[in-house]
Amino acid sequence: MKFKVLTVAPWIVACVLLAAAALTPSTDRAVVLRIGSEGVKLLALVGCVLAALAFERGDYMRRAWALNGACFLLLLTRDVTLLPVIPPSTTLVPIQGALVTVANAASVYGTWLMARAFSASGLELPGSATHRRTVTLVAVIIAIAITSGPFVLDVRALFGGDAGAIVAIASDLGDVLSLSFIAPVLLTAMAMRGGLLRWTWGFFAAGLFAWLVYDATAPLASVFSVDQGTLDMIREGLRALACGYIFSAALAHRAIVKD
Amino acid sequence: VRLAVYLGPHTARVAVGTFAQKAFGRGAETLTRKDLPALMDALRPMLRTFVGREPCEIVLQAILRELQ
Repeated sequence: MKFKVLTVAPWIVACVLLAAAALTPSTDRAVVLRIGSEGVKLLALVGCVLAALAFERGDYMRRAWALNGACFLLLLTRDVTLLPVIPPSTTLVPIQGALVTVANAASVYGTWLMARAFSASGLELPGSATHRRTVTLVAVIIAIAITSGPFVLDVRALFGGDAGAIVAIASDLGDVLSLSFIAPVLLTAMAMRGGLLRWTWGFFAAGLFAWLVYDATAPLASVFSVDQGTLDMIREGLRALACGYIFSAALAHRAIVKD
Repeated sequence: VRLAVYLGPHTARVAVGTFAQKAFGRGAETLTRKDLPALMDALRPMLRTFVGREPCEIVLQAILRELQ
């Protein structure tokens, strides 16, 4: 029952956020979306901390959840520097860049630990080595295809003198690496079908997939001429799904370990 | 069955086969009751990776009790 609730919870969170934004006058919509964005990051952070605390010091999965939680904590810390009460300053840019870079590094390492849990346990994922390599390669190509557009634009902006682009570049690189791990995370969930742990890896894969679609929205929006307001709504809905499924994965793992 | 609750029936079967082979150099179907403690030792790092130290010990103790 609780796993079914965790399956639909991210959709409910995303729908509530989008409904609240849609019912808000367009002049204040950005504020609602910003609050929603911070709220779902906080939700994911709480989930990751609860999951990490369900394990003992030295446990493999404690490190994986702690690193994923560290990513959200650092991103929330960066977001504090964007509050209107803090006057914009060029001295903040390197601090923001460092926070986002370390956050992405933590996310990549944490996702990599989730992705290689099966092999770290001494087991082999199902299917032949060629089959696994092919699936992984396809995921890497899709991740690169989706994130390469924004990456090129951000590198151009950096060389054009926009020091703030370093933040976006760190995020782009983190995205392409993390999203490349979708294949092994999904294969782990499939290998565990019929077992409780499939929920953890299945939810985590759903979260990564939502991030993948989130990254795909920018290039797709330019192709389909989507206006900025609609694009913001779609992106925040996807962020809520991504963070919501990381929260679900973490809570499912805690429930499995503690029950 | 206890392993299957966590890992699913397919992976649970594969795990027992893999670690029986690693610990004894033979298939799971050849194991006897006196091989069980060593098999539990072989399964321990695998299960600990997924569920952590304490639940791992609880599950392995329960398996040992049921099979002995």
